[in-house]
Amino acid sequence: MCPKRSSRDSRAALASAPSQMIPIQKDQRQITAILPAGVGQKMVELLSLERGLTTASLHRARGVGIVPLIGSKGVGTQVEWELVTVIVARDQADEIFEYIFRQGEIDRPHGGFLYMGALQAATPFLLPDVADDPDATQEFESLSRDELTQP
Amino acid sequence: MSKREITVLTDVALITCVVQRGYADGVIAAAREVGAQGATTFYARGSGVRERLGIFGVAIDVEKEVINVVVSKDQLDRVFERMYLAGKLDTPGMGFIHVTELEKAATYVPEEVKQRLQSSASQRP
Repeated sequence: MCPKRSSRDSRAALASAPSQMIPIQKDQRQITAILPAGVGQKMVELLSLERGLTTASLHRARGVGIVPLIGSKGVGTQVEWELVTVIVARDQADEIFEYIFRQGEIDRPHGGFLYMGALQAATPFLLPDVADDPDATQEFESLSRDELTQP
Repeated sequence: MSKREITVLTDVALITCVVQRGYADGVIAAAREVGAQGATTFYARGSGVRERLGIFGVAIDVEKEVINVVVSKDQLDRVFERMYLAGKLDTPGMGFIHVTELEKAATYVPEEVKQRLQSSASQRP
Protein backbone atom coordinates (compact mmCIF):
# COMPACT_ATOMS: atom_id res chain seq x y z
CA MET A 1 0.00 0.00 0.00
CA CYS A 2 1.34 3.38 -0.95
CA PRO A 3 1.76 5.91 1.80
CA LYS A 4 -0.94 8.51 1.64
CA ARG A 5 0.33 11.91 0.53
CA SER A 6 -1.47 15.18 0.79
CA SER A 7 -2.00 17.30 -2.31
CA ARG A 8 0.35 19.83 -0.74
CA ASP A 9 3.09 17.20 -0.58
CA SER A 10 2.47 16.27 -4.21
CA ARG A 11 2.71 19.84 -5.36
CA ALA A 12 5.91 20.30 -3.40
CA ALA A 13 7.35 17.12 -4.93
CA LEU A 14 6.44 18.23 -8.44
CA ALA A 15 7.93 21.65 -7.89
CA SER A 16 11.19 20.32 -6.52
CA ALA A 17 11.71 17.33 -8.83
CA PRO A 18 12.56 19.11 -12.08
CA SER A 19 15.01 21.52 -10.47
CA GLN A 20 17.00 18.59 -9.13
CA MET A 21 17.35 17.00 -12.56
CA ILE A 22 17.47 19.94 -14.96
CA PRO A 23 20.71 21.94 -15.03
CA ILE A 24 19.43 25.48 -14.73
CA GLN A 25 21.68 28.42 -15.52
CA LYS A 26 20.83 31.74 -13.95
CA ASP A 27 22.22 35.12 -14.96
CA GLN A 28 21.74 34.59 -18.66
CA ARG A 29 21.07 37.25 -21.26
CA GLN A 30 19.25 37.01 -24.57
CA ILE A 31 20.70 39.15 -27.33
CA THR A 32 18.60 39.66 -30.45
CA ALA A 33 19.98 41.22 -33.60
CA ILE A 34 17.75 42.35 -36.45
CA LEU A 35 20.07 42.20 -39.44
CA PRO A 36 19.71 42.72 -43.19
CA ALA A 37 18.98 39.60 -45.24
CA GLY A 38 22.15 37.57 -45.72
CA VAL A 39 24.01 39.02 -42.74
CA GLY A 40 22.23 36.89 -40.14
CA GLN A 41 23.52 33.55 -41.39
CA LYS A 42 27.09 34.88 -41.42
CA MET A 43 26.61 36.17 -37.90
CA VAL A 44 25.49 32.76 -36.63
CA GLU A 45 28.60 31.22 -38.22
CA LEU A 46 30.88 33.90 -36.76
CA LEU A 47 29.44 33.44 -33.28
CA SER A 48 30.07 29.74 -33.55
CA LEU A 49 33.56 29.88 -35.08
CA GLU A 50 35.03 32.91 -33.32
CA ARG A 51 33.19 32.88 -30.01
CA GLY A 52 32.24 29.21 -29.65
CA LEU A 53 28.58 30.05 -29.13
CA THR A 54 26.23 27.29 -30.17
CA THR A 55 23.14 28.92 -28.71
CA ALA A 56 22.55 31.20 -31.70
CA SER A 57 19.47 30.71 -33.83
CA LEU A 58 18.14 32.47 -36.88
CA HIS A 59 14.79 33.22 -38.41
CA ARG A 60 13.50 35.60 -41.01
CA ALA A 61 10.97 38.36 -40.62
CA ARG A 62 9.59 41.27 -42.58
CA GLY A 63 10.19 44.63 -41.10
CA VAL A 64 8.95 48.18 -41.24
CA GLY A 65 11.64 50.68 -40.37
CA ILE A 66 11.91 54.27 -39.30
CA VAL A 67 13.25 55.35 -42.68
CA PRO A 68 11.34 53.80 -45.56
CA LEU A 69 13.66 52.78 -48.37
CA ILE A 70 11.08 53.43 -51.08
CA GLY A 71 8.11 54.91 -49.32
CA SER A 72 4.98 56.47 -50.68
CA LYS A 73 2.51 58.55 -48.71
CA GLY A 74 4.46 57.87 -45.57
CA VAL A 75 3.93 54.13 -45.79
CA GLY A 76 7.17 52.30 -45.04
CA THR A 77 8.34 49.65 -47.40
CA GLN A 78 8.55 46.20 -45.90
CA VAL A 79 11.89 44.52 -46.31
CA GLU A 80 13.24 41.14 -45.31
CA TRP A 81 15.34 40.94 -42.18
CA GLU A 82 17.09 38.15 -40.37
CA LEU A 83 16.72 37.86 -36.61
CA VAL A 84 19.61 36.25 -34.78
CA THR A 85 18.99 35.30 -31.17
CA VAL A 86 21.78 34.15 -28.91
CA ILE A 87 21.81 33.24 -25.24
CA VAL A 88 24.96 34.14 -23.31
CA ALA A 89 26.11 34.36 -19.73
CA ARG A 90 25.81 37.77 -18.10
CA ASP A 91 29.56 38.22 -17.71
CA GLN A 92 30.17 37.92 -21.45
CA ALA A 93 26.94 39.59 -22.61
CA ASP A 94 28.36 43.09 -23.08
CA GLU A 95 31.31 41.79 -25.07
CA ILE A 96 29.08 39.70 -27.37
CA PHE A 97 26.68 42.63 -27.72
CA GLU A 98 29.51 44.81 -28.97
CA TYR A 99 30.89 42.02 -31.15
CA ILE A 100 27.55 41.62 -32.94
CA PHE A 101 27.21 45.39 -33.28
CA ARG A 102 30.65 45.68 -34.91
CA GLN A 103 30.60 42.53 -37.05
CA GLY A 104 27.02 43.08 -38.16
CA GLU A 105 27.86 46.69 -39.08
CA ILE A 106 24.72 47.86 -37.38
CA ASP A 107 26.16 51.36 -37.07
CA ARG A 108 25.10 52.42 -40.57
CA PRO A 109 21.81 53.40 -42.17
CA HIS A 110 19.51 50.38 -42.58
CA GLY A 111 22.09 48.38 -40.66
CA GLY A 112 19.57 46.86 -38.28
CA PHE A 113 18.86 46.87 -34.59
CA LEU A 114 20.26 45.11 -31.55
CA TYR A 115 18.80 44.58 -28.10
CA MET A 116 19.49 42.59 -24.98
CA GLY A 117 17.34 41.43 -22.08
CA ALA A 118 17.68 39.27 -18.99
CA LEU A 119 16.39 35.71 -18.84
CA GLN A 120 14.90 34.08 -15.76
CA ALA A 121 16.63 30.78 -16.47
CA ALA A 122 18.13 28.72 -19.26
CA THR A 123 19.58 25.28 -19.72
CA PRO A 124 22.97 24.69 -21.33
CA PHE A 125 22.96 23.58 -24.95
CA LEU A 126 25.54 20.85 -25.24
CA LEU A 127 26.58 19.20 -28.48
CA PRO A 128 27.78 15.61 -28.70
CA ASP A 129 31.53 15.37 -28.88
CA VAL A 130 31.92 13.81 -32.34
CA ALA A 131 35.70 14.30 -32.31
CA ASP A 132 36.00 11.43 -29.83
CA ASP A 133 33.97 9.11 -32.04
CA PRO A 134 35.88 8.37 -35.30
CA ASP A 135 32.87 6.62 -36.86
CA ALA A 136 30.59 9.59 -36.25
CA THR A 137 33.19 12.04 -37.55
CA GLN A 138 33.74 9.99 -40.70
CA GLU A 139 30.01 9.72 -41.30
CA PHE A 140 29.55 13.46 -40.82
CA GLU A 141 32.42 14.35 -43.14
CA SER A 142 31.14 12.01 -45.84
CA LEU A 143 27.89 13.94 -46.06
CA SER A 144 27.97 16.55 -48.77
CA ARG A 145 26.96 20.13 -48.03
CA ASP A 146 23.78 19.65 -50.08
CA GLU A 147 22.73 16.73 -47.94
CA LEU A 148 23.32 18.75 -44.79
CA THR A 149 21.34 21.73 -45.97
CA GLN A 150 18.39 19.79 -47.36
CA PRO A 151 15.28 20.16 -45.20
CA MET B 1 36.07 47.29 -38.53
CA SER B 2 34.62 50.59 -37.35
CA LYS B 3 35.75 51.74 -33.94
CA ARG B 4 33.04 54.34 -33.48
CA GLU B 5 31.54 54.23 -30.06
CA ILE B 6 28.20 52.54 -29.60
CA THR B 7 25.28 54.74 -28.70
CA VAL B 8 23.43 52.54 -26.25
CA LEU B 9 19.72 53.10 -25.73
CA THR B 10 18.39 52.30 -22.28
CA ASP B 11 14.89 52.39 -20.80
CA VAL B 12 13.51 50.38 -23.66
CA ALA B 13 11.06 47.49 -23.76
CA LEU B 14 10.09 44.86 -26.29
CA ILE B 15 6.40 44.42 -27.06
CA THR B 16 5.57 41.04 -28.57
CA CYS B 17 2.12 40.61 -30.02
CA VAL B 18 0.69 37.37 -31.42
CA VAL B 19 -2.26 37.88 -33.74
CA GLN B 20 -4.16 35.93 -36.34
CA ARG B 21 -2.65 35.89 -39.79
CA GLY B 22 -3.55 39.02 -41.72
CA TYR B 23 -3.96 41.27 -38.71
CA ALA B 24 -0.32 42.29 -38.26
CA ASP B 25 -0.31 45.21 -40.70
CA GLY B 26 -3.17 46.90 -38.87
CA VAL B 27 -1.51 46.41 -35.51
CA ILE B 28 1.81 47.79 -36.79
CA ALA B 29 0.07 50.80 -38.32
CA ALA B 30 -1.62 51.50 -34.99
CA ALA B 31 1.72 51.23 -33.16
CA ARG B 32 3.39 53.61 -35.60
CA GLU B 33 0.58 56.13 -35.24
CA VAL B 34 1.49 56.58 -31.60
CA GLY B 35 5.23 56.78 -32.10
CA ALA B 36 6.69 53.30 -32.55
CA GLN B 37 9.64 53.61 -34.91
CA GLY B 38 9.72 50.16 -36.42
CA ALA B 39 8.49 46.61 -36.18
CA THR B 40 9.30 43.15 -37.40
CA THR B 41 6.77 40.45 -38.19
CA PHE B 42 7.08 36.75 -38.78
CA TYR B 43 4.74 33.83 -39.16
CA ALA B 44 4.25 31.18 -36.54
CA ARG B 45 1.87 28.35 -35.84
CA GLY B 46 -0.35 28.62 -32.85
CA SER B 47 -1.64 25.75 -30.83
CA GLY B 48 -4.39 25.05 -28.39
CA VAL B 49 -7.32 26.45 -30.31
CA ARG B 50 -7.05 24.39 -33.47
CA GLU B 51 -10.03 22.20 -32.71
CA ARG B 52 -12.16 24.97 -31.35
CA LEU B 53 -14.67 26.77 -33.44
CA GLY B 54 -14.94 30.51 -33.37
CA ILE B 55 -18.06 32.57 -33.76
CA PHE B 56 -20.34 31.64 -36.68
CA GLY B 57 -18.79 28.18 -36.73
CA VAL B 58 -15.60 29.40 -38.41
CA ALA B 59 -12.48 27.63 -37.18
CA ILE B 60 -9.87 29.84 -35.55
CA ASP B 61 -6.86 29.95 -37.86
CA VAL B 62 -3.79 28.32 -36.35
CA GLU B 63 -1.51 30.43 -38.54
CA LYS B 64 -0.32 33.35 -36.46
CA GLU B 65 1.73 36.45 -37.00
CA VAL B 66 4.17 37.55 -34.31
CA ILE B 67 5.00 41.25 -34.12
CA ASN B 68 8.03 42.60 -32.29
CA VAL B 69 8.23 46.29 -31.49
CA VAL B 70 10.94 47.94 -29.40
CA VAL B 71 9.77 51.14 -27.74
CA SER B 72 11.00 53.51 -25.07
CA LYS B 73 9.44 53.10 -21.64
CA ASP B 74 7.82 56.51 -22.04
CA GLN B 75 5.86 55.22 -25.01
CA LEU B 76 5.26 51.73 -23.71
CA ASP B 77 1.78 52.06 -22.23
CA ARG B 78 0.45 54.08 -25.14
CA VAL B 79 1.79 51.71 -27.82
CA PHE B 80 0.75 48.63 -25.83
CA GLU B 81 -2.82 49.90 -25.51
CA ARG B 82 -3.12 50.84 -29.18
CA MET B 83 -1.77 47.47 -30.31
CA TYR B 84 -4.13 45.65 -27.97
CA LEU B 85 -7.12 47.54 -29.32
CA ALA B 86 -6.04 47.31 -32.98
CA GLY B 87 -5.56 43.55 -32.68
CA LYS B 88 -8.96 43.19 -30.97
CA LEU B 89 -7.19 41.13 -28.35
CA ASP B 90 -10.14 41.39 -25.96
CA THR B 91 -11.90 38.89 -28.23
CA PRO B 92 -11.19 35.25 -27.31
CA GLY B 93 -8.98 33.51 -29.86
CA MET B 94 -7.62 36.69 -31.43
CA GLY B 95 -4.21 36.57 -29.78
CA PHE B 96 -2.22 38.04 -26.94
CA ILE B 97 0.43 40.61 -26.20
CA HIS B 98 3.27 40.80 -23.70
CA VAL B 99 6.12 43.08 -22.72
CA THR B 100 9.75 42.10 -22.06
CA GLU B 101 12.03 44.46 -20.25
CA LEU B 102 15.30 45.13 -22.08
CA GLU B 103 18.61 46.13 -20.58
CA LYS B 104 19.84 48.01 -23.59
CA ALA B 105 19.55 48.42 -27.33
CA ALA B 106 21.72 49.80 -30.11
CA THR B 107 21.23 50.91 -33.66
CA TYR B 108 22.43 53.50 -36.12
CA VAL B 109 21.82 56.96 -34.71
CA PRO B 110 22.48 59.82 -37.15
CA GLU B 111 24.98 62.41 -35.95
CA GLU B 112 22.45 65.26 -35.95
CA VAL B 113 20.11 63.23 -33.73
CA LYS B 114 22.97 62.55 -31.31
CA GLN B 115 23.80 66.24 -31.15
CA ARG B 116 20.15 67.13 -30.59
CA LEU B 117 19.92 64.61 -27.75
CA GLN B 118 23.14 65.88 -26.18
CA SER B 119 22.03 69.51 -26.30
CA SER B 120 18.60 68.72 -24.83
CA ALA B 121 20.25 66.66 -22.08
CA SER B 122 22.63 69.49 -21.22
CA GLN B 123 19.73 71.96 -20.97
CA ARG B 124 17.94 69.82 -18.39
CA PRO B 125 18.32 71.04 -14.78
